Amino acid sequence: MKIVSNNIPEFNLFELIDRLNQDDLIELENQITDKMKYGSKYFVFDISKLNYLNSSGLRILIKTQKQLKLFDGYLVLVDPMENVKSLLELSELEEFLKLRYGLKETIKDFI
Amino acid sequence: MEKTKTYNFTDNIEEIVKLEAIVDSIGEELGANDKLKFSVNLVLEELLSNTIFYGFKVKDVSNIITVSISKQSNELIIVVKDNAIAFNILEQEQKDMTGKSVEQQKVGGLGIHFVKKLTTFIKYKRINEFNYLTLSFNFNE
Repeated sequence: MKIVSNNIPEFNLFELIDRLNQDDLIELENQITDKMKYGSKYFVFDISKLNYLNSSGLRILIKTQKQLKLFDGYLVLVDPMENVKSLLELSELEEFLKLRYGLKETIKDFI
Repeated sequence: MEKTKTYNFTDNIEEIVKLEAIVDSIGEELGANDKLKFSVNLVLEELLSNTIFYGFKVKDVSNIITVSISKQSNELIIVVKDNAIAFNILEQEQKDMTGKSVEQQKVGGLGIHFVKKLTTFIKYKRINEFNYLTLSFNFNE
């Protein structure tokens, strides 16, 4: 697993790679919490290289989305691989987690 | 697959990382597609992590989860046996799919929802302080 976080002023870009194990999820949650503490309210998750996600990972994304909504912020998930996309569809979370396609186009919306 | 393959897991959550290699190996042997391997991996991870986190009253070397995998006709059959507290997944509430918004729903239950949605058949038995959960996956889906 690899979490790549880029500090772009308008939003936070996370690139999630491979798969998220228990330690990775804790690390991801900590990074999100830290950024929210400093006022970040827009998060873009590039999941084009994330080939596995479980309910624990989804729970963190749901929790983050709920918290961000309180501050008029939100997160988006961009370019899921087929298996992860199926999982999001199965959980009926595509809309809530704002599934998008095309990283460049998505980023343009924030700038 | 000619015979049943069996794998043991202790009550340590670090054990979960073994699943990926096990499912990949069996999947390759059986010619399973990526979708089936993903489903099996996810279902087993949800079940095992739930048992490890909540099923055992105390950490103990006797806490063992046994996963047996076999192929019967077009079905992949998995039996999960453990000595954790009784847990019948069929009686558990899953994610609310009644049209409530996510904000209104309880976040818990997603794992159970995935297990029920990704399997074609589930049977639960409690025998002599052991849970036996039998799961079936359609091999051709």
